Amino acid sequence: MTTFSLTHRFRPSRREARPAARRLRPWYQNRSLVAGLVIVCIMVLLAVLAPVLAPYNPIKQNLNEALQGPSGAHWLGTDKLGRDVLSRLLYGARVDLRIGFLAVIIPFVVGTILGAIAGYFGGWLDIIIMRIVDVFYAFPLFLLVIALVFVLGPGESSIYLAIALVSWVSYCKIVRGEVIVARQQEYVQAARLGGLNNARVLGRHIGPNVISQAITYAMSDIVMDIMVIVTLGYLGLGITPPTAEWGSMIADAQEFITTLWWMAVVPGVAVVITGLGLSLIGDGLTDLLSPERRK
Amino acid sequence: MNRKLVSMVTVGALAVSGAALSGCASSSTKSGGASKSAGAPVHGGNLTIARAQDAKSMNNILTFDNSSIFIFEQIMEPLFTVTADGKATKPLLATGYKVSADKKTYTINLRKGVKFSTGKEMTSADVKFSIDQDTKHASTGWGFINSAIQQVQAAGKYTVVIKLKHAWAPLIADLALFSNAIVPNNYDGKTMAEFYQAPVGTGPFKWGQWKRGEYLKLVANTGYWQKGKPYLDSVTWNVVPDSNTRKLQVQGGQADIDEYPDWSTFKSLGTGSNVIAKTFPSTELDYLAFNEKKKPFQDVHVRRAISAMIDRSAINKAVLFGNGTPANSLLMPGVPFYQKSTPGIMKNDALAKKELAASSVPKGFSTTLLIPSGDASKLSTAQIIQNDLQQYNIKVTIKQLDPTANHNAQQNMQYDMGLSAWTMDIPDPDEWTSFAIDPDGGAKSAYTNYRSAEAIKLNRQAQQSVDHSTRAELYNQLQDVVAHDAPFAFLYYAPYAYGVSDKVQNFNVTPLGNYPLTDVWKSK
Repeated sequence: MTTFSLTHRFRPSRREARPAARRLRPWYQNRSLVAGLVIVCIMVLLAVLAPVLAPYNPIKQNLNEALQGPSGAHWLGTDKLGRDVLSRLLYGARVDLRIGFLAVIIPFVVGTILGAIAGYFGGWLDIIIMRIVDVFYAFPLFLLVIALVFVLGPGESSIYLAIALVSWVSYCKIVRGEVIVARQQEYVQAARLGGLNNARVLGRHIGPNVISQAITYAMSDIVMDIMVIVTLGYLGLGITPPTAEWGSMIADAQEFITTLWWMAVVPGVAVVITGLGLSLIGDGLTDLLSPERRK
Repeated sequence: MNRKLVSMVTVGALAVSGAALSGCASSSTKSGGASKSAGAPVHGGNLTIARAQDAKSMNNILTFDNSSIFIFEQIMEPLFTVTADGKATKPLLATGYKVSADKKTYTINLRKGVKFSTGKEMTSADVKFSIDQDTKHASTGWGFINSAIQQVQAAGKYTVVIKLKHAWAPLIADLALFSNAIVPNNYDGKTMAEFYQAPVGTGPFKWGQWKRGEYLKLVANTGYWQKGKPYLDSVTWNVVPDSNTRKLQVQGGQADIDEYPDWSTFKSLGTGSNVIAKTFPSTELDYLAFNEKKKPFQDVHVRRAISAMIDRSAINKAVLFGNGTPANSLLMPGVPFYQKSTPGIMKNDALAKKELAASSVPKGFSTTLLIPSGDASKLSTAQIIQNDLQQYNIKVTIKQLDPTANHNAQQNMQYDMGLSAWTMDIPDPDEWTSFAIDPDGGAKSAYTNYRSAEAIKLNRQAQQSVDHSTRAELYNQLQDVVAHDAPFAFLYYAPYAYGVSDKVQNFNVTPLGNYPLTDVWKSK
């Protein structure tokens, strides 16, 4: 008991030694975060307002106007079937962003819960969960998702399922590591000694302190999910045609890359900008949520 | 031949014959294409062909894919071959044949002095062995084509007698198929597998080197029986999967021929460069197959209605960039007995409405359309069909499977509608008609389960009647029956597209898809 209280007494003084780290700037002064939020908000707005903004029906074919260059009527030209590229780009954002954002929810929740259980209880529970994680980790993410979507059949629901089955492992690993560290800390020890049950300790005391890492990771995970959807669309395994989607737009445009290059470049740039925005948010959140990790 | 006695003098004369040659068998987007086809044939040089896929196997009796066939045809030759227009046969390793009065015995005379690239002379023993080998592998390979053959006899050193089970009109066309090409008796003592590692034949080229996934090289057979040929020293097929790269390679001179240009860039291939974008008449029919094991496609009205909904000229415009022709018949224009007046269903709003109203699903229905993934042309075709059918309240979901899974799904009849194509391998319609309309032939009528007693009867009669005009009449009737029953919606006839450097002379593709390189040469 003596040792315990000694450590206890020393802790606060160590924290006071780094006062600068505790002095948080307000979130709006965090440049990465603001830049990222602006980019992502614009993208989301464009997607949400696509039905208002898009000049044409994205799946309406007009073969007499196929493969036109940019013009007043079609700002980004038309594709092989005479569909307006700008309209398809806007509607494509709806599909890619929707799936990207929604697809992280299940892995986030499942991975976090399993990671917390593994880290908190340890023992055979930890061993079982982490060996399962290792199995999933042994395969490249894309390979596994493509294989799963192939088995499940193309379509939005199989994409959600495939991503959920594969990407929870990252959250699990991250949260487990954080929980193992937190478990040793005094406030947890205190809570447990105070007679709180495990669920309450995990949920109310450890949870809020470890979740920030998972949230930060979720930002880059959305980027990853969008990459997955675009890749699947490109390979013809994603959203079923004629629905507009950035990956299938790139695939459609590939044969014209030497003649009508912008048809492939425009959806490609949209993917890059979205990815950049989300990465900036992730970067900003790292600063905001875990200042003690900042050098 | 004096190699230096070339160009200048004979420019005029050969430019004319060159133009005539390319004019008869092909059309090019560059009218001045013949201007550089200068001089007498020159020996030497390596021909580089950039292609999308590597060959799979050199086994001519078991291999079905074109990227292999086009290569081993340069090594191993059959007794007969196809004329340039693809509609008839002419002797190659044979010199001629006689048919008995009962049409059941063919006596074939072999060409004397033909040697394999090993130096050994070809005799009737080699012919008997080769044809027997093919027949023996009927269940796994092309041997079904020899189903009417009862026996092959080596009657003399240069005479072969073929006895048939019954009269069989397509025999000579069958013997012109690459699977009946002549290889050395008993594979020169090797096993089948060993032999096809480095196959030996009598052809203009012999085995060189194969680095799988990268290139396959053949070198000239200097002892070729057609004296002075081939002109080329060697031919290399390079695997270049990306169509844009192939285009740039042939434009930049790294490759002489682009074997498979995309239609989308086909026109631009020949503009402002030394490449000629060539099309050759083909025997390719692209069609929409209806699986009659699935409802409601067993209903002839549904099939006829859908056939009448599809805008074929739109598909031709969007997918083939106007290079194809809307298809009206089961047979293709490049096939003997093609009937131009066959009443194949074209887009016809009134007919579509009438047939749909008379069908089991007058208010429309939901179904799926199966296509292989990664095929831009089929995806565009599918989306146009989806759009066309939607206007009649038929909701189509496009289902993409990777090419192997797509193939399996079709073979196992696990699809509703599917996009497919057929190209002929022999200059006789029987190969395709038997596959497409005879459900007992093993392919379940090209995987549609279409069964029409009348069509089957007409096809079997046409197989066994040797008289040309009788066969023509039977095939005309057959085409009419199939056009009415619409087991397939015929979509379009597509020509073969090639990007060819203007240095390459005499390069021609037959309607069956093969390109003999015996007469091809490269100007300097």
